[in-house]
Amino acid sequence: MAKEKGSFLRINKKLIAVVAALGLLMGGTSALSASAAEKKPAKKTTTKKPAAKPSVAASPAAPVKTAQQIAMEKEIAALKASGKPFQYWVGLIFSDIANSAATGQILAWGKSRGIKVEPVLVNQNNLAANVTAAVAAGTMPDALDISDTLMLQLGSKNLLNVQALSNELARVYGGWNQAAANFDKADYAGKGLGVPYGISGNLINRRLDLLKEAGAKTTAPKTWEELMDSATKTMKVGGAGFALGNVGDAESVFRAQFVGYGGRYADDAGKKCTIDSKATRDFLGFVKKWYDKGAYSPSAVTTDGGWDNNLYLGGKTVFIANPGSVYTTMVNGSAAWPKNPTLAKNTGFSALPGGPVTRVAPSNGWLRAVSATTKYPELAQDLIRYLMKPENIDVYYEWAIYGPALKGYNKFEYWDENVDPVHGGLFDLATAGTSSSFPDVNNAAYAQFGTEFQLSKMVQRHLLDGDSADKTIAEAQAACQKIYDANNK
Amino acid sequence: MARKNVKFSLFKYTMLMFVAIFVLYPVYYMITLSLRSQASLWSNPTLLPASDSSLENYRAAFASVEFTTSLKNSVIVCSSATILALVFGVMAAYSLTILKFRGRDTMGRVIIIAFLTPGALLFIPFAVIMANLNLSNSLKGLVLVYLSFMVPLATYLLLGFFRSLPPELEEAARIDGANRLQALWFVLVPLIAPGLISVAIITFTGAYNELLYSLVINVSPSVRTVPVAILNLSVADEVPWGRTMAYSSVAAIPIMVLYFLGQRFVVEGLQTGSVKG
Repeated sequence: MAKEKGSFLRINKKLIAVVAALGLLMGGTSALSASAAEKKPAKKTTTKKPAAKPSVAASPAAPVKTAQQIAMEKEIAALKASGKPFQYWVGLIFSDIANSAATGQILAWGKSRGIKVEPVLVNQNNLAANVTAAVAAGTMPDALDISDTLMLQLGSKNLLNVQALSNELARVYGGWNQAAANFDKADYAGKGLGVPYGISGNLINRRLDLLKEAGAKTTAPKTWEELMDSATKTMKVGGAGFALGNVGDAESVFRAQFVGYGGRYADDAGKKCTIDSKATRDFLGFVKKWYDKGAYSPSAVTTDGGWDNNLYLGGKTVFIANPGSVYTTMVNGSAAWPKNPTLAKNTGFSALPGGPVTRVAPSNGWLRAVSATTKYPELAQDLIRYLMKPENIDVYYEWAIYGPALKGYNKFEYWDENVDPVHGGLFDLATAGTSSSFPDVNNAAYAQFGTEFQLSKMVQRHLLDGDSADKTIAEAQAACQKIYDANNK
Repeated sequence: MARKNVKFSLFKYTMLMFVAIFVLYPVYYMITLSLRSQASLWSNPTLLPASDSSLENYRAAFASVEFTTSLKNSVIVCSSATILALVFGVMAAYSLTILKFRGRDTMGRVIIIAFLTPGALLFIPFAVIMANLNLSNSLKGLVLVYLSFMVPLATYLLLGFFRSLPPELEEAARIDGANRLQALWFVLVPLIAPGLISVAIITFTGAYNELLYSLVINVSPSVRTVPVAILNLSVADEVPWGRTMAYSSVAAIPIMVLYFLGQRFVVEGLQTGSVKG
């Protein structure tokens, strides 16, 4: 018993030590944090002008109907009475300045309406998990930024139809650019569920200096064969910095190549899968040929979303497909990489090459949507209307890597490729790009096939597991049909 | 005989060395990476400490309000949940060992099943429950959710400690006039104090490392915990590995300190729980 007592006393001492250590740690952390805050890290110098203050001038160019005004006033009163804030989930993107601009504008809008707002930056990488739980729990925000893929999966059950707002914005700001207009087509399954505000897609970045040194063509590759040929001529192994794993980067590049070789997931009705085709065999033959020739890096299988960026910025590859974050990093620096103007100068940008059948410039959309569960639909639409005002979106576009959704935004100077080559490329994508689903029907089954990385998995089975093309295609066809059947029930 | 002992010792230490390398390598890798910039990592992918190592990523960690807030949140949530888990765990383990009632063994098994249910199956139900309780986006809500796996674990580990106590101790206290709660608090709990420490450390660690519930239940930055703050370092297609490792190294300090101070009790707790549980 005495021994036990002694042991307990020792424990007490240890407990005190643990608490003290934790206290010291927390105190130290705060102190260090405070000291760091006092010192303030050197402000990031950029070649661009700083974000302007958001405009808080009274809203839309379009006249607001009295009924709308009345409804909004009621909603403002109800929101104030609830004591809760109006919540908007902002898609946390690559640029801190763009994130700050978006949250600043939302706060400014709240102030102008005299209400409490809570803009929450939600990492786009985790948005699907957050939205899934929020939908089940009934805790969806009032409005949110959402990808076209997730929007299709949520559908009209979870999102409010904002077609009238979409029409109003198109009327006031000169209509939708081609890529955004894809979300407004009569046969689009998600029509009216969101207001497109950003168009993204891949551009090929190529190392001009390395290509020149190796005696390869420095001009933009027109076909995937040409690109792979230059890559293997310039770098013995890994010249094509394309991923092979289950990541969006791999799936999007494979999709462009697959379509280039004439492939498509399903028929015109969007119901019967057509993976088992000659086009798919040609596509697999193309990937296998260049994989065997060493075009892909050995680390291409185990990648994360930033693998290709790091490979390129670290000088370890010749070509990558990137939506613009690499250029932004080279010019402005990022949390991970310092500026590299020399590499920026030695980089050429071009649209994705084509295959023997066709050439596509797939574009994806980011949209602003209103939750079906919101009690404040008029306020939500008023906020979207406010965010879409040219003077507000101008600040956002300048730092985000999105192309313009509405024609009224095409006047901004940075879309000129001589001013900014990546914004120039994004402008081309927005004004001339095809839907990411082309030539397939853009429905929930199409979205699920992509989010499950089915194309990448098919390639992996052929390249890495050594399964025959016929076997892998048969498996992919079966998986595809299962997805389409489930979604078409 | 002595030669045989030397050979055995040599074998034993060689094996231990391999195990130590296997266990410590990820920690070494984390710290080495945390001292390097992204450019250095990709231009010189060495596993040895690089000449261009710096504390820049650590400076960034301590300068980040979001990270220091998340660290504070994690400590608050996990400490609160640990204390509550110990209180409920002690009472549950006491009931399951000392008290005699029908279905006692079945209840013990049910507690284990509750602990073994994968979190991925439960995150949506928990999100729904927290929303109904109006506890989404709050540290209190997260504490409640964490109790769902911490209480069963604490109970399971404490069962072993309670079973190691002679039943006569409680009986003697009762004869001396103590009621059940007094007997538990003044007689039994002091005797299982080492067990309480080990259970506290193990459950605290489990909660501290939890990601999924925290990610989906607490969306606002002011109530995020450390694992979510680290996850949020990766935005779009940029993964800053050096910074991620620096944040992880700092986040590991509280747990390392706890284990360093209480490792004897942790080993004892696990042994008692596994042998007598």
